[in-house]
Amino acid sequence: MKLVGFYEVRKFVSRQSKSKASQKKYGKWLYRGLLYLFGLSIGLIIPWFLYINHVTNTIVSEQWDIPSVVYARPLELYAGKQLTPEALVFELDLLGYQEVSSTPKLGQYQIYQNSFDIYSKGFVFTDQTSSPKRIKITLSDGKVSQMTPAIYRLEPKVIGHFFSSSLESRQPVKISAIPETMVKGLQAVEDRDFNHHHGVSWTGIMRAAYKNLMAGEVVQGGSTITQQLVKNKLHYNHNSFLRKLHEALAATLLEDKLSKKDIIEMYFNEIYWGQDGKVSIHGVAEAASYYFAKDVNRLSLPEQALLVGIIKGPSWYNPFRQKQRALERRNLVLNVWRDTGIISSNQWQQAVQQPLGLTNHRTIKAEFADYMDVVKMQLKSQLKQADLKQKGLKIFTFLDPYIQYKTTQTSQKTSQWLSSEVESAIVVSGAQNAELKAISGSKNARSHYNRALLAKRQIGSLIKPFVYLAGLETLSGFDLQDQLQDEPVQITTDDGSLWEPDNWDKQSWGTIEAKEALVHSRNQATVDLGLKVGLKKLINFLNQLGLNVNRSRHPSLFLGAIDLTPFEVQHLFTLFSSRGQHTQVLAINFITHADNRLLSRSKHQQKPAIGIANIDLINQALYAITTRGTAQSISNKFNLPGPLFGKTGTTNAGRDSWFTGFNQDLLATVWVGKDDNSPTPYSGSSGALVLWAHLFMNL
Amino acid sequence: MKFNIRLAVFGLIFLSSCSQRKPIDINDEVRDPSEHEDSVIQIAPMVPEAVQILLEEAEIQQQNGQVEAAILTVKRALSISPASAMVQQHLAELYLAEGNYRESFDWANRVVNQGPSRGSICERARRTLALAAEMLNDVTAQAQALESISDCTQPAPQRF
Repeated sequence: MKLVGFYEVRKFVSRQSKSKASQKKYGKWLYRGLLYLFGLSIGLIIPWFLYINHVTNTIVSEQWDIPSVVYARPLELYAGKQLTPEALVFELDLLGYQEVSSTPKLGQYQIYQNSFDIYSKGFVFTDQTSSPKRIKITLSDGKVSQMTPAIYRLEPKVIGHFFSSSLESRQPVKISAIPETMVKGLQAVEDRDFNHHHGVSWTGIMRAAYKNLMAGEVVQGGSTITQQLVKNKLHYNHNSFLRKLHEALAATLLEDKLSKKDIIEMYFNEIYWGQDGKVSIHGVAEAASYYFAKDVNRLSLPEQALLVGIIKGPSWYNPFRQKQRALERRNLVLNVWRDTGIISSNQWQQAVQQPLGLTNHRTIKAEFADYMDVVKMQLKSQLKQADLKQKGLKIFTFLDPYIQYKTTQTSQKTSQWLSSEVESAIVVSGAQNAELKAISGSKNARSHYNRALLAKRQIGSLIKPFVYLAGLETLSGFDLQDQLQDEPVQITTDDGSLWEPDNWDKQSWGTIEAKEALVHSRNQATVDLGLKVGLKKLINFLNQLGLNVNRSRHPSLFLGAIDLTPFEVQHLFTLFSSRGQHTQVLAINFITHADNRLLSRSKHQQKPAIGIANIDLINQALYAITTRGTAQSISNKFNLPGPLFGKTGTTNAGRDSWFTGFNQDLLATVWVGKDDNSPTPYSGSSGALVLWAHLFMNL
Repeated sequence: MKFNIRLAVFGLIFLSSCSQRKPIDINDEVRDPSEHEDSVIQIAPMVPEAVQILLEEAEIQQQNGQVEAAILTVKRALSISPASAMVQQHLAELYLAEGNYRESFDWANRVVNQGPSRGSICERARRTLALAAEMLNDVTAQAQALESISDCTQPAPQRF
């Protein structure tokens, strides 16, 4: 008994000690578990929270890289302006205006015979704001004959951007600039609980989960606008549970740091709206400009609905490529807006009947890449690359889109008017103000080699007006009526070799008046004058004009043995077309900050001190060249109205064919030749001049 | 040594007072003195109406202290009529008001060389040139410009 009792006691004790042991064991596990959880929170959850907190701080403080925008010159309309109906239609189409047959609304125009009724879009210029306005213009004889108001500037065409490496095109706007229907409409479509949730909508998630479960696939997302913003900011491309968790926490934290108004503004400026080639369209302002060529505050109801609709899938609903799909999506959005009371039934009825109304300005081929090369070159010394790519500067240039279009067309017809074996380059600027209007670096639109800017070629007889000008400036008592000797001449050069220049016709005309020698481009007479001036003095004179002539010490410099690009030639001849006022062609007019404050205005270099009387004398000879000299075909064959001034240039065996000429308005330099510098059958008058004449006939 | 420091300080004050020329008021110093009753017959230059409108706009902008905007407006006018001496002279005056003396000098010089040789624009150009030259310390150009002001006016023909 005692033994039994003993055993029972032992059993009891053993049971008790076992239960204590198991309690201890459980306690240990509990303790370990808590320790584990503590470790987890120290090691994982807290760092995760801190990380997401940091991420949301970054989102709040992040500054967008805003690309700088480059603009063409705005078209200035006024009575008396030279303007053809073709040029005006080109400009309006390029700016995304729509032609209509009834009274035009904003961004539309109507043509009746030669009268235009335009409802402009307006633009905030640095000096003043151009408000949207009805402009009535009558054109006759290639001019604006009547116009109300008396003067108006159309908005300038965007011709390029300076993007950061992300290639995102974006112009941030304040929420106040976005139509209210669009702001409310976005919430109605994307996140109806936006004003009530705290970053994550649990009811939305449940609703989406239920619908997805019923459908057996993902048919609805439960993301709020805040979550979508986070997703875009963090570039989350695929969904996973962890990512969703990240998003949810980040969205919740973001709601603590930003007001609802700030979140929706950030969303409108952040969201991806489509793709223009390599460049992605971000933000509502850029989307409005890309799809409708309008400011966001000018969007109509159906246009707003389309933009809100395609957020769901900018590629799937791409309105340019998937018109029907985009239209259905837009109408679906309009239905939602009507059902939620954002728009009235009447507004809905009118809106759903509208076509997509996309701008066609994207389809107009206008080559601005060559001009942008000049802009980049001239900006290099003025601005830092980082500022250009991030600060949203506005660069206003002198580019004339219509002249650029005609210049590109002329270049592209080189094969048709000359031969498929030669290349061409053309530079066009204002004759009197040296503003660069257009530039074409190749006959081939795909060519990346900008010959106008990069191809250094011998200029041949284009140098002659400068040799004669140097004579007038440096030789006492010399004028263009003086006699020169057009006779064979032998010159021993510095290296001991003999140089014997010849005339193009292999003849020598003997004693000849200086002006006639220039008009008929006589080589031997020009060398005679050059020797009187002296090589050193001529080099100094050319350097004074902005050239850097240090290498060439050979007397062949008198006949143009110097390599220049067409753009450099254009600089030089500006001296004549502007009557001594300019020797530098400028592409940039002025630059402003993103908020339109003026940053800088371009300045012309100080002009060389050359007598106007001497320049006028050379201009008289340049005029004679186009009427009875080497370029007389301009007047005789092409019948271009004068007065015209110009000079041909040809190098050995037609390797380079040049013509530079101007009228009262425009100066243009044309080069024709082969990239490998092999001979061509063209002289200045049979090659480059032909393109020049066609360009001026078509402008 | 003390004397030298005093001298230097005195010199600095003296020089600074020399350079403290009051800002140029183009109405007081250029435009108003160039208007004469007995001047030659004024010829209204042939410019489009749009140019006149822009010059008036620029005038208002300048009066409101928006000289930068006024310059851009006159540049618009210049794009329409690049050879107009009247527009060029407005630009020269605005550059003068802005304190951009080099640009003012260049534009006024252009009007002097290629603009009218009689009348108000002629005189304004020479006055602008003289003031810009003064600010650029170009004494010779200033003297020449001042000398030539009288060439812009001639006594009115005697009436019988």
